[in-house]
This record gives sequence, C-alpha cells and structure tokens, in this order.
Amino acid sequence: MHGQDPESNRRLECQVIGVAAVLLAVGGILVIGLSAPWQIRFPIVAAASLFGPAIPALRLFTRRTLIECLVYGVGMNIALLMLVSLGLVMAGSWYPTISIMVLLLISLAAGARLTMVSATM
Amino acid sequence: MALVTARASRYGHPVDAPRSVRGLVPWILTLVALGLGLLSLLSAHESAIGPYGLIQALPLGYFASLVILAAAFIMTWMNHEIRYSQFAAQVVVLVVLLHGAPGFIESEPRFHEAWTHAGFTGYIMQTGHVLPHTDARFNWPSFFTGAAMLARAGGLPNVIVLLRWWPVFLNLLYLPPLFILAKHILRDEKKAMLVVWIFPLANWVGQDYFSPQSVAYLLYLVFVCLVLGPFAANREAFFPQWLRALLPPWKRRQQQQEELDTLPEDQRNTRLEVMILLAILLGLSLAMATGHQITPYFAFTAVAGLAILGRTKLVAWPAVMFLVATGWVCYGAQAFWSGHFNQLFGGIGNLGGNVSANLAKRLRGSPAHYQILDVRLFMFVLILALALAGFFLGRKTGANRRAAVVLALAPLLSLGGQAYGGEAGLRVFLFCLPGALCLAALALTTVAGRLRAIAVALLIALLIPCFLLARWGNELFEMVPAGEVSGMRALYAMAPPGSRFLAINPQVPWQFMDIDQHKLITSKLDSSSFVFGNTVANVAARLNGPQGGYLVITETEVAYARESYGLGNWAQTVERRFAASPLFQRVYQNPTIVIYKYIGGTEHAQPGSPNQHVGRSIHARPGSRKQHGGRPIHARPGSRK
Repeated sequence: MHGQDPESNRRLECQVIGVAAVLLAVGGILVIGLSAPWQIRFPIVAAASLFGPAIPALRLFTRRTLIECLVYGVGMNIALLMLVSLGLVMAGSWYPTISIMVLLLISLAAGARLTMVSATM
Repeated sequence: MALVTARASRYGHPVDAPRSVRGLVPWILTLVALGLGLLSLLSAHESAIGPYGLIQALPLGYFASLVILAAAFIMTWMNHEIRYSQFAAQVVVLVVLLHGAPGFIESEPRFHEAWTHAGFTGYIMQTGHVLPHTDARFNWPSFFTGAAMLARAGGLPNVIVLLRWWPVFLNLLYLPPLFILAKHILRDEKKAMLVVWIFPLANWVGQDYFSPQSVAYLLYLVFVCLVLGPFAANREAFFPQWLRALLPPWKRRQQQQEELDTLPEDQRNTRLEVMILLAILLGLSLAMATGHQITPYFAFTAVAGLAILGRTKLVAWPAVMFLVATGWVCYGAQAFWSGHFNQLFGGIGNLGGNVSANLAKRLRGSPAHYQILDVRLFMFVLILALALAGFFLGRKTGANRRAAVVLALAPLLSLGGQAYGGEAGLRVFLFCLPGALCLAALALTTVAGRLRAIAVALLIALLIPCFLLARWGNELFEMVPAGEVSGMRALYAMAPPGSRFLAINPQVPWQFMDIDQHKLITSKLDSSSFVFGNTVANVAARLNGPQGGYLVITETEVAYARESYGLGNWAQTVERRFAASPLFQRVYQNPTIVIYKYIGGTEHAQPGSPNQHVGRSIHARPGSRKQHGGRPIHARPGSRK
C-alpha cells in the first residue's frame, strides 16, 4: 500500500475496508442463517460485529487515517453492541440475533457504498 | 562499500542484499521466540505453581524466549527505518507469551470473578433480563448485555469458552489506541512504539479478565485518543472559555484561527467530521457510564484536566461525561444505591481511609505474598520515577508533556472519592499507565545511540521477572482447579432451588450457572469469626433457611487464607470443627473441594458426627490438582434432608 501517491493509497485502503466489511457482514449473515456450529459461527459474527458499521462509515464520511478509522471504529462498534443490547433488555424485547443481523446489514450497506465510492475516486 | 555495491549490481544481485538479510534477523528471532515460548508453556505443569505463583512453573526456555524476543524488538526499534509489520508481530508474540501463559498451563480458565461474570452473561443470554439486586456490578449491565447478545447470535453454548483467551484478546486490543495516543502526545513514532512495547510488561494489574472493566478500559483509551487527537487544542492553561464570548467577533475569529494554525494538519476537522466524532464520543461515554462504575469518572477527570490545561477543545465535555455517568447512577443503578448509600458516597473526601483500604490493608499475608506486593509497589514506583524523570528531561522534545501529566495524575483524584472495595489503588495504577509510560519513554530516549538501546534493554530485563511475579504471583489462589469446577457442578445438581451457599472467602468458582436459583453468602476472613469465634454456630445460623444450605471449602480458599491473610493452620482447625459437628454432613468431596450440607438441629442434639465415616479433609496438598474425580456422598439413612 505504500510507495504510491496519497490519494491512490487512500483509494486502495477504502476498497480494502469496503470489501472486508461486505465479506464479513455477508459471512456473518450466512452463518447465522445456516445455524452453523458455534466454532465457525461465533468467530465470524464477532469479527463482523467488531468491524461492523462504524469502520466503513468513518472511512466514508471522514478523512481520518486508516489506523484512526480502525481504532475509533472498533471502539464505536463495541459501544454500539453494549448500548443496543442494553436498550433491548430495558425495553423487554430480547431479540439478540435479529439485532445483530440488522447491524450486519447496516455494515453491509456501508461497506458496499464505500467500495462503490472508492471505485470512482 | 561502494565497490561491494557496484559488484553486486554487476552480478545481478539486489544492491541492498546485505541489508535485506540483516532485516530478516529480527523476523527469525521473533519466530524462534514464539516457537520456544509456546513449547516451554506447553511443557509446564500446573502442579508446579507455588507461593510465588506461575513463575515457579515456567521452564527456563520460557525466559530464554522472552530474552530473544526483547533482542528482536531492540533491533527493530533501533533501526533507522520504521518497520511496522515486524514490530506488530513482536508485540503480538509478547502479549501471547506474557498474558496467555496461564491459558496454556492451567486446566480451567483462571479467576473466580470471571466465572461469575460468565454466569451472569449466560443468564441474560437465556432470559433477556438482568439481576440488579443480586450484585452491585449488575447495576451497570451494558457489558454483560453486549456480551450476551454477541454470544447468543454467535451460537455459543455459554461464555465460559471465552474466558481463557479473553485477557490476550483484550491486551491486543489495547495496543492500537495506545499507539495513537502515544503518537499524539510524543509526536514521534519510535517513542510511541516504545510505549506500546512496555505497556504489556507494566500492566500487572490484572483487570483484563472477562469483566466490564476490561472493555471499559479499552473504551477509555479510545476516548482519550479522540480527546487528544481530533479534538486536541494548544491553548494557554486556565484560559477561561466564557471570557472568550465577551470578545468582539473579529477578535474571537482571529484567536480561533491562531489556535487552528498551531494544530497539525491531521487534527483539523470539517463540520460533518466533528459531528461524527462527537457522536462517537457520546457513544463511548454512554457505554462506559452504563458498563462500569468507576471508569466514567476516570474519563471525566482526564478530560476535565485536559480542558483546564488547554489541551482539548472539548471544554464542555467534562460536564456531559459527569451528567451521563451520574445520570446512570441515579436512574439505572437505583437498585444498588438505594440500599448502599453510605457505601457509595461514604468514602468521598475520606482520602486517608481510602488510601488505607487500598494500600495498608492489602499489605499482609505470608512472606511470599509480602514479597509479591513489594514487587508490585516497586513497579509502581519505578514507572512513576521514570515518568518524573521524563517530564524534566523531555523539555525540548516538543512532546505534549502537559497532556501526559494530566493522564498520569488525574486518576489519583479518584482515591479521594471511593475505596471501591480496596481495589481503587489497582485501577489508579492502570489508568495512570498511558500518561506515565509516555513520560517514561521521554526519559529513556533522551540518551542517544547505543546508550539508548542499553537503557531500554535494562528496563525490559528488569520488567520481565517483575511482571511475572507481580501479575501471576497470586496464581495459587487465583487459578481455578478443574476439581473445584466439577465439585461446584455437583453442588448445583444436588442443591434445591432457594438453598443457600456459603463460602469462607470469595475465591470460589460459583455463579457460573443457575445464578438466580441460590442465595450466596461470602465471608470476609478479617471481619468474621471463622478463625477465633464459634465458627460452626455462626455458619449454621447463616445457612438456616427453608431450603437448607451448603458450605463450600475449596483448595483455593485455603490457599487464599494462607497466602493473603497468613492463616497457616486455619484450614485444619475450621474443617475439623465442621467434620466433628452434628449440624453438618459432608455431601461431596474431591481433592480440591469439600461440600458440607447443613442438616439442622443443635450442636449437642446428636451424639456423633455424621462425617465420622467419611475420610480425609482438604489442606491444599501439593500435586493434588489433577485428581479431581469427585464423588457425592449420600446422606445416611435417617439424617435430615
């Protein structure tokens, strides 16, 4: 990724983040949908949730560096998991799998958008 | 040298071939360290863990692997090029070897509290409800609900499977935000790399197990990164912000432009970016406030200190942070404070009492335990002394020393607020670390050339054994033997719902299942009459309930009493009393756990003890940890159920 001009570096980084977000989100939705064994399902769902909506969204809407997007994004995704789940418990409607699926769909949308935008940069 | 290069080009070799080979050496050393370290850990035996903890079970190859890894790091760090991939690999290996050591050696995931947290998370997974009246921690439940949601969606049978490698995973997650934070403060990537390398060696506090504070600390690091990164400022200290409003608009704009000009390019934001980053800050603040009791107050003091000293533009954020944290205490944690008002607020202003609870009362126990505590204090003093030296020596480095000082000292203010069960001192050190290590890195890098490498090597050589003693020194009673888990499973299987469980101290792996089914009673050795008083009658009184009660004595409880309280013969004395009492019947035993059932009556009602036919008792026998095939002992005919 190094050795090129900053703009092409940034484009490449955006493409990598976008594709990773899409792949992880699709993988997460698939393993949940197929009720895969937890040894396969949990690592994919956990990785997709940590990478989640915030990292591609940060890359999409801000000019922060790659490592900053990763760090702030992981922090925000963890906060999001905590707050969404707390909201579910307080509201008395405990649908954890559906909530994670919704987060993964948002992540998929953000990743797809980032991939498209980076292709036209 | 020019001749060599010319020849190399002529014969078709890459011109920098010698440099490439030299660049491979740290990679090779890192791989050797990883291989040797893993082999050593896999060959270590749990039974060798002694009064000095895990260090007694570690083979020589393990220490050699850490020395090789340190040499590889120094080669990478002293290189004039920055090699991130090499450095990242070395740090990952360091964290795996240091913080993953018990995971390789011990038969069950360590630390009893982690098992309790797993039980609570499992309860939420299954029911979608929390238990605010069961434990104070459960009034700040967002960590547990988040883990439960992820575990349920990921199809986990229970979260106990996460406990073993949780500390490794969390310590790895701490490092990227720490790197960014150190880069913001020190404005030098090499120095930031040094901070990241030292952190796993200095973090002996052990708050990285499966717990709310482990994740809250990660959120705190990200929070401070944002405060000192995109929202950094370079103002004069104590500049009253409200006075700015009195200035004429053109003067205000001029001042803002001047401040903007002093900031690096990467710290200037657009309006949309500011809104997104503020939303992230709010999310982090809310998650900290609902997830852990004291982390939001550490964040509050840090951001308030930075705002007062002109290091951040977020002058109003301390108020937001305080309101969010206190708002949750008032609203979400009502079940806790309504019954424990004095416990929550009684420590405010009582600095002497809180310091005593955190320091003086923890300094006791067996001679080995004293030495481990001395090592911990030594590490604390060493890092603070290096930080102090760095503050004075790093004057001309251009580092943001004021921010580092705030981060290092602001956590100390919490000692004036709450004793936090005697654990606030540990948290203070943990939260001091990022700022203190940045200043320490300044001290270590003021010397030039080879002296710098020698200084860093000496510090690492000192920190490795100190870390192993300070971090894993309590392993004798912080580990969870497999026999204790099987014993507790047997207890949960035999005890009717509503029955009471009593343990003589908190070192018991309970609550990992059926958390809402039983009432748990824990005694503190220093406040109960277990040692000198009428033990049997006291325990009987506390276990006397409609569904009966059970007393649990484990090998780690005995070790805890011996190492932490210096009660050498306590186990024998206490257990002899229960074995002789007609009020209690031994219903389960294996070499690591004995369970007595309270069968009622009075101490002199029956002529003989129901335990006379049962064999040996539990006295923390060395080498007994692997034999955990326990057996339930059926009640004698005629004895009360």
